[in-house]
Amino acid sequence: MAEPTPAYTRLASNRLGLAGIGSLWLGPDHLLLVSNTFGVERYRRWFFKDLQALIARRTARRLVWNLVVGGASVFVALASAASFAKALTFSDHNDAMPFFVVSGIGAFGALVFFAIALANTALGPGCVVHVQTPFGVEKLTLPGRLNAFAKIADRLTPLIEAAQRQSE
Amino acid sequence: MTAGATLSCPKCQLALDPASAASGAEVACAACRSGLTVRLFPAFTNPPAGVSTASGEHAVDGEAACFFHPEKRAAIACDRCGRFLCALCDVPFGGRHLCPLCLDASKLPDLIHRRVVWGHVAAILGVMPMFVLPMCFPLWFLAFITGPSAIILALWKWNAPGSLVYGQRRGMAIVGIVGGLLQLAGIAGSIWLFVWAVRRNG
Ligand SMILES: [Zn+2]
Ligand SMILES: [Zn+2]
Ligand SMILES: [Zn+2]
Repeated sequence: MAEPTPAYTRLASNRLGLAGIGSLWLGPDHLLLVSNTFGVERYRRWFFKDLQALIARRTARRLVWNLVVGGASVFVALASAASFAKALTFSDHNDAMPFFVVSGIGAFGALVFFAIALANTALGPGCVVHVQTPFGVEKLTLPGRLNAFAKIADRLTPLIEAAQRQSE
Repeated sequence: MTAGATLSCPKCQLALDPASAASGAEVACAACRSGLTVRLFPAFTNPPAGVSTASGEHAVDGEAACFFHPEKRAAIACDRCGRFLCALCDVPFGGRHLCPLCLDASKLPDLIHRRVVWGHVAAILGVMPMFVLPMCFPLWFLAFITGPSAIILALWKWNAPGSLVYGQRRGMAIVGIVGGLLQLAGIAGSIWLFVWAVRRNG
């Protein structure tokens, strides 16, 4: 039962909350957006021939994430330091132990948050992508980063230009 | 909007100069200061093949006009792409109405807009109740329904087409079967425990 499925290459994917997953795919002559909600996939296509422009608008996504995660990191680090300071006030080793443990866990948590902030910074500034065709301008939730957008656009441009030369 | 499309800021709709955006470098919207990176393609300046160069008046203000002939009134929409078409541009094709551009592309397999990925559904039914049901005690009996449904769905739809991009997702179907079996085992275990406790005390 082999059906003629066009081969798709994944360009980007993300989660749409708890309920679903979105992904963007490169097809033979079109761009395919798949949104999956509890196992039901919906498909939206943009044919290369129709694509007039891709527009990425820079957003504050990266900054917001860094503020949230960085804030959490600082908060947990302070709590860890406070617990450590408290542990030092005990003369009895056994009494101090729980505070050392809490301090250690806190330090680890702060490191994890800090690593997330670093990764977020490395991913580059966030963006919202819009696809313009003769039918109007539509918003895509992916790719969410300008660097990823540039890579995808670089990959698509020759394909789109070739498709549009053919149809002339 | 046919020959020579226009460009506008997606946030505030202010018209942008395509020439300044075409470089590919980020430009700032004059009104809302949004940073915009724009890629323009030939179709932006060149109308698609088949478009009349005589840009006449729109049919009547507010009335839908043919995409290819802005001066003509639209009679029907293309079944594939939704472009409005005048009687001249409407090409009947196997019971459908297509525009000249889509007729060209219709050698492709029929376009699918929605698919239920049964393997994925089975995985959700098989795995999710194991995490959710223990938290809502009186609803445990639901596993009687979700467990078997996960198994039946996974087996019944084993050969269904599946995802357009990922294929059949049989791995997920197997996860669903395993989850369904675990749910049934969990229920059987609780019943056994209950009976055992009653016998011991009674
Ligand atoms: Zn603007
Ligand atoms: Zn069409
Ligand atoms: Zn026409």
